[in-house]
Amino acid sequence: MRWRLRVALTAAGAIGAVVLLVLVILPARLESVALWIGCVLAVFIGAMPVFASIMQYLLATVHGLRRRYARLRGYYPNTAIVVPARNEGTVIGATIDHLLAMEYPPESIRVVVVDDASTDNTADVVRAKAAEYQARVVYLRREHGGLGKAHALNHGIEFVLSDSWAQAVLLSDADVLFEPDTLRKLTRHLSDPDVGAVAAYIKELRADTYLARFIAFEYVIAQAIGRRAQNIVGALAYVAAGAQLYSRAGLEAIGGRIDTSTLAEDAVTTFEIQLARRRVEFEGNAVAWEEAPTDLESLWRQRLRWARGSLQVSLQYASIWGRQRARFGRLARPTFLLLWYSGLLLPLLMFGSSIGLVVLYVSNDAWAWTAFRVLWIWYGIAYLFGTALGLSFDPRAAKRSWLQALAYPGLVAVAIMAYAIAPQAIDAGLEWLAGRAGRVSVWGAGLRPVVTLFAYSWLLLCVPLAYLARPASRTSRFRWVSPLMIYLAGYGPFLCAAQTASYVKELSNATPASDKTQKTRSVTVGAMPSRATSTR
Amino acid sequence: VIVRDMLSLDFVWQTRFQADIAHDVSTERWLFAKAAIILAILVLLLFIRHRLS
Repeated sequence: MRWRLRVALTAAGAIGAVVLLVLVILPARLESVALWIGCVLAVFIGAMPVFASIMQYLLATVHGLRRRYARLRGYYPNTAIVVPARNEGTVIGATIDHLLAMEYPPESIRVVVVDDASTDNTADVVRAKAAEYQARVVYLRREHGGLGKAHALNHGIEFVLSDSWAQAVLLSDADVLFEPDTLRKLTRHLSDPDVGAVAAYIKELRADTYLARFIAFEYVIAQAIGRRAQNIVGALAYVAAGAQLYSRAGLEAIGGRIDTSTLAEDAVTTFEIQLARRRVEFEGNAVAWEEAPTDLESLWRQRLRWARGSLQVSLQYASIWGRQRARFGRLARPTFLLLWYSGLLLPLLMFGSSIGLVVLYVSNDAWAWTAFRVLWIWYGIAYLFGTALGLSFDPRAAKRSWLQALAYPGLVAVAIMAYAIAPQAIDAGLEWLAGRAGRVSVWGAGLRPVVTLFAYSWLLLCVPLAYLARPASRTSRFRWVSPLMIYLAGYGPFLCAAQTASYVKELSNATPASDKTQKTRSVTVGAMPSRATSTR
Repeated sequence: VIVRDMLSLDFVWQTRFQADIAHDVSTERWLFAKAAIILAILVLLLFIRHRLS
């Protein structure tokens, strides 16, 4: 897999060298024009994620017109819920109670807990629940655990598929809580035999810190909007790991196991199900709650793992671009590829865009100004559309995370968007401010070019600046700066920094950190914000 | 027979299914309406900005 990344980077380097060579050979006049055109192209190719976002928002808009529900029927298959648990003694008991209390025919649910060599009291708690619920709770133990969640899940899946009872398998986590109606809203999609898997809408439960609120809004954009758009495209990238329902036939079609070769086992499994010519559906009205990472450090580790997983999946399925394209069915649709690759290549595209603008600024200021304005006006449109849509699609998240929604790309980026949309008004305002401070000449002569250059290079600067929030959060002296940096530089750029780091880690073949995300483990049924608190 | 059918578990679960579908169809339509309004406002703002410049 690593050699493929090297080939890709070598190819990118070769293209760069050829471009430089052509520029050197060309006569001076043509050289400039070629350079300008190259820069403008870099700026607008770099805008690909913006167009992908707008396309995604438009697709999510028309999702409401989809007549999918009319074709469904009430379907309550025997469902085995596989829950891997590694030192989850504090939450697993309540989780089992909660799962068995879901509004679903009681004789059709079984909970299979896979104890992944826990050293705490997980075994005692689950055995007590097994005694209480009889055959509805099964306890399995892996003595040689710690290999990762995917291995534990496979242990459970193997057990579940060893007899004919289960018609569907729900893979979950020990700290994920479901609404009472979630399972039946997922299983109804399996009434269509073409559907192999169904994804629930996972929401952030403890939005009590600024970081949790950013994550809550991110989930709205990525799932409530992003996956509805993928429903329209007809191909899903991920079935979120915390709540993934598979039909028995779907699981058996991919060999009865989930992937253990990459860091994104959920993406590989989702791809494989679709490669086996079965559909994967996102059900936005089936809600599950989970606790997101509590601090920047654990968020960084989680996102780095996800980003590396995405990169590994892209390399594993690189033949989607080749002669085997037809094998990929809907996954090879241009709309899906645009959505997938614009996320995967986001850092490279942003850097290219910004470098293009800065080089243009040095060589042709007029072109640079036009390219800057067009680029950032589109950023502004995507920002307004995405934020408004996100806040309207999930009013509960909107109530808690409206500030984080507004600051998602970073307040500096929002200011630059405003500048691109109404430069005269903002120029006049800044001149007025400088005039009040008695510094009109400073603004006109020296400060304006500096501010302009800063705005042109912001896409390049925001990623390292957002990243700096991470080391700052680890110090006692500068910890307070960390949230400020995320608000200013942006939560999106912080995720982009993790994506950038994933390129480096994957290239150096670094050993991934532990796959267990640090959480408070204080998620309880009582913490759920809605009617999900109903009891048995 | 009608009363017995109505008390059967299958009837209860099918009723819940129908209620879920009715609720979710209306939720999806409401989301579409909100998204369409947002899109219309955005297009209007762009048009106004275009006329002003």
